[in-house]
Amino acid sequence: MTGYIFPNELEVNWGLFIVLYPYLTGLVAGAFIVSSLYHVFGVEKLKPVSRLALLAALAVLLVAPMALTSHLGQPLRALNMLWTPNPTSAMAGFGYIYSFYLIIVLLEIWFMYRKDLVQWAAEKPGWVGKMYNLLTLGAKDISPSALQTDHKVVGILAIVGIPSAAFLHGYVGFIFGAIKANPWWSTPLMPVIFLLSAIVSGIALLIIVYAASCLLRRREMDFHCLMTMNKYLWVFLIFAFVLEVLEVIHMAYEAEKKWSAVKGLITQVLPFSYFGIQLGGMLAAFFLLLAGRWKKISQSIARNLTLAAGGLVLASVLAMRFNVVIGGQLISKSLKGYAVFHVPLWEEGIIPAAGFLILPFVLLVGLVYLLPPWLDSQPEKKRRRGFERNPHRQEHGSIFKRLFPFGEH
Amino acid sequence: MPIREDEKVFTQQAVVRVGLILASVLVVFFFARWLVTPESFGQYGRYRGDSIGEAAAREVSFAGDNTACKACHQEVFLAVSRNEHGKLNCQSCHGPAAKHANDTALEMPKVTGNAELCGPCHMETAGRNKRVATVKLQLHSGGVECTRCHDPHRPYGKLRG
Repeated sequence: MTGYIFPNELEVNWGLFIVLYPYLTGLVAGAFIVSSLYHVFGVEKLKPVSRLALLAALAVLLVAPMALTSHLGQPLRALNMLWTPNPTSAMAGFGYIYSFYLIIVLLEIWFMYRKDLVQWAAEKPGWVGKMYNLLTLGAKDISPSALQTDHKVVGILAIVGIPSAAFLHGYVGFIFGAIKANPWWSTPLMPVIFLLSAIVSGIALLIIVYAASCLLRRREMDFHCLMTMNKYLWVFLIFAFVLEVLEVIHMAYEAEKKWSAVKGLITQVLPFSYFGIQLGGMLAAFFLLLAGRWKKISQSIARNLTLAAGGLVLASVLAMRFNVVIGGQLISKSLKGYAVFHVPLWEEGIIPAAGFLILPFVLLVGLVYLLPPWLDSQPEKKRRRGFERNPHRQEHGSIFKRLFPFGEH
Repeated sequence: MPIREDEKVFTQQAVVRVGLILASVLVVFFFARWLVTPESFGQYGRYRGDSIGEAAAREVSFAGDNTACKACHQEVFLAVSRNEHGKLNCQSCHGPAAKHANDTALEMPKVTGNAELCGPCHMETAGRNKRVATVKLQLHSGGVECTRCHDPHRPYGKLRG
């Protein structure tokens, strides 16, 4: 604690789970936009990730409210908000938008996979086939006209999905931006800032997930697809960065009473996570992405630069959520002091938070096994030589055998 | 992409199935809502109307302000009203006194665990007003009851030896 704070400001009530909630929701919006770039705007180069993007969006979407309701302590109480909504409750609005969006994503995935589901239901033996059979909901018509309808419905859902995704995340920003008592949150720019950082983080997530999936399946990564994501990430990154910086510059230039408190927050309380990770990460990613698109470097370097940029953006956006959610609570309403945030290990602490960050990937692996999203026809890469046993190498036997040469006589 | 009227999207098997499922989700939502929403919800505002009656029907446990206490315990009342604790309600430390005030044969429970009673005001915390004397409880008394030395009715008086 520094300076003067009011007694009830000592405890930071919104902890790491509330940091994760806008982070995870943001990843969804971004991943969905990538899938829509293919389905709505016809960016053909993104085809290899179009289905993976939707599965990733669903996996993260399912975890986002878990962090939120775990924070409540009594998760079932979250339902009261939906049964008997208060028209002035921003959070109830989020509940409805979230549910609507979840339905859109589920439907889009179902229509996209319907043909495959019908085929898998016929091909796979035993309970796996039965499960796919159940998932087809009995709609087994895969005549060309039916598939044409599916395609059309996917298009419509993707079109409806874009504003929904934008609303979903803009709304998270709105929830913070509408808190007028908090100098660090209260700005009408907040929804836009949140939305853009969401898109940025989602594209970055997809870059990493796509790379990981290629690595695990030992397939060559589609370089053009990766570079297209690089390009979109770069463009959105510019907007996200400019908005985040402009907001603070605007506040500084206005130099209202609250500025001294905000200035102290970013220069003394959170300098590392604000300037170092949030802004520094974005700047570094900007240059790495730019370098990755330079024609004179080899594909593998370009790929690694893009991947590094993706990782940096993910870290930067997580830091941004932390700086907003926790930072906003550290400023005293007296504007004369700062509380201290202690991160616990358990409860709303590091370990469960890490769990919520890992859980989407576990779900994604499950979803990918259930609904393989791969559209590539490339053959499996040969194992790298390093992993292969060299046939010319002389066999020495293991250390164990050399130390204990039993049974060799 | 534009939908022509002659391509009937809404009669396709898959669309109909999904539509039925969505409709049933809505039905389940409204049924669950009907099931869990209390009957008197919204009677006066966005809360359970019955809760007002239920709260009013609960037994009164506090005896209001210090008037009732003063009637019998005049000496203590005068002593305490001359110092910093004079503005406190007797029941803040002594507990709810409605039963005792109505029937003095029923004795008040003894006040125990005064570290817990004094702590909320006298424990040192980062944001506390320095006009109130605050201590680090563990260092100050190490768990010994505050009343062993202090008299809460005369906080600035002589310490009890």
